[in-house]
Amino acid sequence: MYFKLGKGIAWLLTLLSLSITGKVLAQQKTPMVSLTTDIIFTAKPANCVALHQGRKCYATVSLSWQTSQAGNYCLYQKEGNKMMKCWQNSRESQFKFEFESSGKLEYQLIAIKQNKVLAETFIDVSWVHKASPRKRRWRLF
Amino acid sequence: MFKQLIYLALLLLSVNSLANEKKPLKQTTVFNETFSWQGQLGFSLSKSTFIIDGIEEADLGNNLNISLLFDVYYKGFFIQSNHRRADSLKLGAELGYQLIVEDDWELDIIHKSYFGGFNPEDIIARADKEIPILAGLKQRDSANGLGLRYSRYYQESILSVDVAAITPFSDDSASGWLINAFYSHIVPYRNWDIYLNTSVTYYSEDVIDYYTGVDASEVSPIREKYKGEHALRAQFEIFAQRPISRSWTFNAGLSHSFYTANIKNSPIVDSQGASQIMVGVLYVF
Repeated sequence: MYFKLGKGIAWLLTLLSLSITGKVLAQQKTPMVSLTTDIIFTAKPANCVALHQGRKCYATVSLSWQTSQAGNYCLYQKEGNKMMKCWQNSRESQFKFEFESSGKLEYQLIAIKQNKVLAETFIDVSWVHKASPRKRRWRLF
Repeated sequence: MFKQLIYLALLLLSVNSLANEKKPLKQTTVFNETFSWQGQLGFSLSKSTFIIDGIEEADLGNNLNISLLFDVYYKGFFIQSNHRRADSLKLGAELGYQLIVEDDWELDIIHKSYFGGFNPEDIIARADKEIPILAGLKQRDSANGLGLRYSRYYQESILSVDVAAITPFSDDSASGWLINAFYSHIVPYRNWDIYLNTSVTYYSEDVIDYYTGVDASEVSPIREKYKGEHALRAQFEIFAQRPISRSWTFNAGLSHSFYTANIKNSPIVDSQGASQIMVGVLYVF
């Protein structure tokens, strides 16, 4: 069903919509779960949007951390307990990587000597269109 | 042709439909009846060239569109806006009924606009200048067709074939019939969906004559009487879509159509080819 609503104000509305989306696109940071005081650990962007539910979402993500004391720390992806990067005698740093997942992934900042999880954060995955219950992948809707 | 299609449609409607496939995902219940739907609000900017002489998109306002698209499904009946094609906004939605639905193929009755119309008077008024080749030509309405669509689904592509009769709603409307074969292949790349589309359409003589013919009342010193002949159109298209946020998508498409050379025999046809480029955003409800 198609209604042509108007032409003259289309450009303004297009710009308006783009400005809205620009705000949406503004890089949000994930809420952080800090297990000790004075630790900042965030992911940016916090959310990755795919076109369809169930499809892999791709984004360039930056994980940033900051502690009150210099030390040896590692970043882990909680799913699969996968080590991403470690630092020696550091207080803060960031790690950029290519996020690629169809679901939410959680990350941990770990103090190596104490083998202790200092903070956790996550990157959520959302989508524009819900998954089709149909078996086939190609869909007109 | 049209009558035969109606008879065939009625016959097939008497068969129990396995219609359970085209459901959009939002559901609403009204008077105890549940239907599925999806709404999208689109803002787009487009640029087109035409085969008809004298038609130019000089007027900037002509390039801008706001459109509201609804996909609705109810017990086999559907309205669908194929918002993955560059010309979907111009040709509008498809109204149909699912006759047979299998995992990898489907047969529908379909009613849609197969050919966009034009009004020479409006074009001249909008251009605010004389366009002698269009002056005195009658309005050509869109060609709405009723037909059967066979669709075959593959993992990453779809092939559909429409056989349709153009349904004239007045003496001044288009008539005739057509066959349209359409193939679309999706290439997912990161968060993009890229559709590579191609189609071939055969238009009967009546259809082409309606749009490119010049009847006795339209003859002028620069426009001799002409009867259009049947023609083929090949179309190639690339259409890409990516999410911007949970509610917005960005869309861009480029398509080019080629008609067989005989289309240029018409005094009002300027070119065998027509192109369209569009960019826009869609808000998904």
